[in-house]
Amino acid sequence: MGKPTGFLEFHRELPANRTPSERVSDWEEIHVHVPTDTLKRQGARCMDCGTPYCHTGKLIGGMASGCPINNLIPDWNDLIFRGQWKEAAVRLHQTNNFPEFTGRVCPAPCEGSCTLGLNDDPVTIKSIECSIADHAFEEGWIVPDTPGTRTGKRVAVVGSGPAGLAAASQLNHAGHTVTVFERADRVGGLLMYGIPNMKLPKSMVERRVRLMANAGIRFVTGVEVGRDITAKSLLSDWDAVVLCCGAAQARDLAIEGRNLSGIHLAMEFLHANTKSLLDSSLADGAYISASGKSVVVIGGGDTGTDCVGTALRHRARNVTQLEILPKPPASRAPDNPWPQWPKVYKLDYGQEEAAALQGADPRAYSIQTKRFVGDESGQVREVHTIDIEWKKSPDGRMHIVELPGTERVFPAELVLLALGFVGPEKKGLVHELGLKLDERGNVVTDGEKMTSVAGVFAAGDMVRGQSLVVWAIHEGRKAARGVDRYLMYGQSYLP
Amino acid sequence: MSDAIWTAGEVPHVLFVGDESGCRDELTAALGAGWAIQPANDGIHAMDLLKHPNRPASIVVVLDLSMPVLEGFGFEKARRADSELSHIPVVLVTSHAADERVKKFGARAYVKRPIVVGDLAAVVRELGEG
Repeated sequence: MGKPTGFLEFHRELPANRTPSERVSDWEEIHVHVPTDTLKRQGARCMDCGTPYCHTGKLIGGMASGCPINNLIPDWNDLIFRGQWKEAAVRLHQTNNFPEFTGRVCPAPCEGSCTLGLNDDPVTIKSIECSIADHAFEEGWIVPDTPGTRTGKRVAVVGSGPAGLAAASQLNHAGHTVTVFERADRVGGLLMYGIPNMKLPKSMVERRVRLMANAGIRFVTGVEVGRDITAKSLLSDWDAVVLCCGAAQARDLAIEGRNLSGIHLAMEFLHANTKSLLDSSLADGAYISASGKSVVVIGGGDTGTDCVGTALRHRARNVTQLEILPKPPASRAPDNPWPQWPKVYKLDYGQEEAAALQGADPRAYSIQTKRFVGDESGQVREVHTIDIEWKKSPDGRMHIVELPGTERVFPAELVLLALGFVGPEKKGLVHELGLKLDERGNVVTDGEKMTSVAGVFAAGDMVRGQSLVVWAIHEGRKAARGVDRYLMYGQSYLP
Repeated sequence: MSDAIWTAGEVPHVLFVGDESGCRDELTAALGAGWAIQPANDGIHAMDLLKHPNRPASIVVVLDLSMPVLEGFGFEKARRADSELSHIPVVLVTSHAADERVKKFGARAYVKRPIVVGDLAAVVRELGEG
């Protein structure tokens, strides 16, 4: 703690965003860089607590409290205050392979558990992390992490999302020869095609992948294991396999009218948009356009927000977002105390943009979709809903009660389903290998992240179900350590 | 996946772990016919060989402590933890015989650097017969 009275002298300052009206006209990042002096003051607000909850990463009430990868946050807050940027970057990379990603897309459970947040605004940890990573890249401090020696062991990583990339990075660091298989045409998984460019510029994903390739990791795109390569051949051709295939099975909405045209899963919409953007700046038209349309996004999570932001950039006529859960309170509820993840109302970038363009937050809460109605050509025209109330059953579970007389009709020419994911795809790889699944349909692993098949490891959403990028990095690192121990006869120097 | 596998059949073997190829060739000559030498570049390569199904019955390991990837202490930790391999005799080649870690190492035999190949061959023969 460079400045013991920092938290008393300085207030929380976040980087300014570009104005909503400016940023919806392009696909560039919404944030602007933070001046170094501001960051120094923000770093000075850290109190270097005796028990730094910010880096504990405990699960409390099913949500992360503190950083899941145990970033050494007070250390680099202090280093930033002292202007020791390079040391801060080194310290940050000790625990986090990709701070330029988490500094942008993480919901920052660290800030939710920052002690300063007890009676003041928490330290701007995420913004500091992002700035350290950006500064390190600008200065050329981030170079390929090429191992000094090779073990001669060959590892296949299937899937190139954050878990796969983290596992590959760690395994390569340990000297193993790593090949990453990706079924899409570009590396990155949800980092590439799930999260839109304005939230995570794809140039940053490509920059990191290039560094990893230069460090000796081989990337094979356009190849689906389980289809183009048999899963069984993986077992015979590689010393170990790490599956990081995500929880790609989207939750659908099996209601009347679902088959109408104009109703799409969120990932179809987001994937096609980013691909077309990167391929041709949207000139090839190979995306689902929201231009001039009334758009209804069903689902109030981050993916729903990304759909709102993307539709607005298409110049949708209007965008509505339906959330089945109640509107969160403005401040912590009594049953959601610090240092739990704060379940409070947030105006994320997409809603902020919608509010600026349409005059109000586009979200409707406690609302259930009943059916879709189309025209004679089979094109969706309306979304019919009813308001609901959440009630507690005698067994303690929450259930939905529909409120008669609250039926509503939303005009819709494009409907996007952002209802989350139900688990990994079962056909292909999972089925062929006969992997044991848990009651939720996720792949079961032991403490070393090994599946029920010897030598086959799994990490990320495939194991924990849909979750945060930072948890995927945690999982990938843990699986890498498990693989390393497996290959190195019980020994590993990986953290 | 290591490339090298045991090829000499059922004769007593020296598993020579380390990169001192000059010493290895001299040892081959000193032991003469009736012995085969199997080189291993590092501890992991050596463990892969010991775990190979074609492993011959009689093996003496000559072990260098300083190796890349999995060094000598790591190799021994892994070998001793494996009930199928823990009986295999190991000759430790070291220039640090007084080092506390080496003293605690508990190898069946030590040969100090600079290596006198005749001495090493004698130790190998004795352990091989034992």
